[in-house]
Amino acid sequence: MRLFRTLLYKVTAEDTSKATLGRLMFKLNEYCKFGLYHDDVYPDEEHEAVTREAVRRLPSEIYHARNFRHIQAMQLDIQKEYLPENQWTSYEDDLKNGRYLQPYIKEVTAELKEREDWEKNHMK
Amino acid sequence: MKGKLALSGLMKRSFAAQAQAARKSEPNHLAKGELKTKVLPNGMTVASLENLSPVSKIGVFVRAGPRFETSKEAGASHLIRYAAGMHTQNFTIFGITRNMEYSGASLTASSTRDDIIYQMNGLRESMKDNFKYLADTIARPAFKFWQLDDYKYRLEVEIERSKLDPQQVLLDEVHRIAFKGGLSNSLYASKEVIEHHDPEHLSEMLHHYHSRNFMNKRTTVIGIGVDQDRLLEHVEKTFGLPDLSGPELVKSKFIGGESRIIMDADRDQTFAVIGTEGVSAENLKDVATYTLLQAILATGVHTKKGVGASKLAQAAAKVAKAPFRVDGVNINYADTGLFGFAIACHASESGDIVKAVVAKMKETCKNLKEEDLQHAKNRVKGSFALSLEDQNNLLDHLGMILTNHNEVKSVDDMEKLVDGITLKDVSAAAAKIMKTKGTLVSVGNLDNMCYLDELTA
Repeated sequence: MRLFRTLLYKVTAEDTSKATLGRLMFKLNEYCKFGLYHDDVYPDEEHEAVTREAVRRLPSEIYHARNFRHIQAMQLDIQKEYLPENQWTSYEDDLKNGRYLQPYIKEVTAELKEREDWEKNHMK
Repeated sequence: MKGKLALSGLMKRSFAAQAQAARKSEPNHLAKGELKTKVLPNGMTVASLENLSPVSKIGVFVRAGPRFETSKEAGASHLIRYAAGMHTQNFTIFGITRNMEYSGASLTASSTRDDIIYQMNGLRESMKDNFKYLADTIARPAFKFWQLDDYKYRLEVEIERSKLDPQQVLLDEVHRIAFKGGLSNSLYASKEVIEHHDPEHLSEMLHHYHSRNFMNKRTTVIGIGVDQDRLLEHVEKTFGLPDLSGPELVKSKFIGGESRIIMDADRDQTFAVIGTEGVSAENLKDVATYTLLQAILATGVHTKKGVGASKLAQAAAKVAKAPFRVDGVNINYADTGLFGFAIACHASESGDIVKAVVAKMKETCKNLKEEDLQHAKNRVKGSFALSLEDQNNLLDHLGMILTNHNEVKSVDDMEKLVDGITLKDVSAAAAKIMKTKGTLVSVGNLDNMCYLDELTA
């Protein structure tokens, strides 16, 4: 199941036109049922440092909203419940607002790459 | 042996003479180092002095110093100074610092109450690459809030240190007390500004201050050891400030007053500034007149462990037993200035010294002599020419003149200006000083320090 999810995730992440597949994936992932966004559960263990730094750079409004969703989701998880269905994150909303972390991740990655490149070019 | 030596000497001489002859035929305007200035269509002033040095120095003067801060933006200019070298819209803090360091260049930001001054030094070849960092730092800073927070400790240290140094406290307090308007603002942000605002608010404030004050018209770029055409090319390619004119300079007014700050009383030191209204940097003749008057009264100490040969220092020496120092203060801003002197002495004698110095100043001002003026002229000319040997002083001088006048006087012109000042001019300046209200600010152990009313009586 996990492999299937990963594969599906790769496919949908690359091409948003595969909307039906994306919708299916979206439901399968279940984070929408906790009221979470895509970037709230950003699946990135190997780049944890990058994600951490990106989260640190979030404007406070977005940062606090993210924290609120996390707390809400944890509470629900403890109670073994989902949100009422009308409060689930919708697919469109997730596409529109759910990728709030991406610009910051891009920024941090670019900075790391700049550092790496510099050292490659200057510290031979 | 002797003959051989003489012969070889002769040969050397003739070679040297040939070389000299060859050089004479070339135009020698390069060696002289003429200053070229140009005002761009967008209002920015660009000046350069090509001295063929392997080291280049570029100073950018932006008329956006603390005097333009509103109450909401108190301390903004200090924060902008502190944010120099951090992320800009196109470059990262890593890129800027690492690349500049690698090429041996340096970038600093300092400020007067009128201007924020960015300075870049480095080897001539490195200027081409590094100019974009300088331009971006000035024109397109990012003011990332998390970064302002990351390096907050530096800011805190800077502020803390400014509070520890009595002379720094003294100068800040003199401006706060003696001027009405923007000039009374401190060069440093207050601790409260940093503690009570969250970094996001500070970042917003800086963006606002930057967009309101950093304009082409209020910017002067000066290069020393740079070719004018190259500099113009860099400026046109990389600078891009708005063409608006920004807020008008609201004139500050000298109002005088008294302030006493007890500080480090255990050290038994007293620092004081006694001053009256000076002149603005706009009128160079006035500046020269007041500089001469300052030279007649008190200039700094020129010998090691000496007290100085100036009239005021000698007057103070008569009453002082402990070490002391008397120095002239002559600060010129865009619209007004501060003229007077600064005293540092032992706390037990502070009142006596200040009274003796003020009495001597009054006596001298009433009765100025031609020979004193001549001595002062020699001293002023000498120290001016000597100070310009240092490129940092040269840059400051050019900056002061260009930001206030758009036309530059060479050293020769300045000497002529000083020579042209008569005893009548200086006497008039002295009479005006005696008439205007005074200010007395003292810092340190103030047990024996006198008050302003004792001096004016």
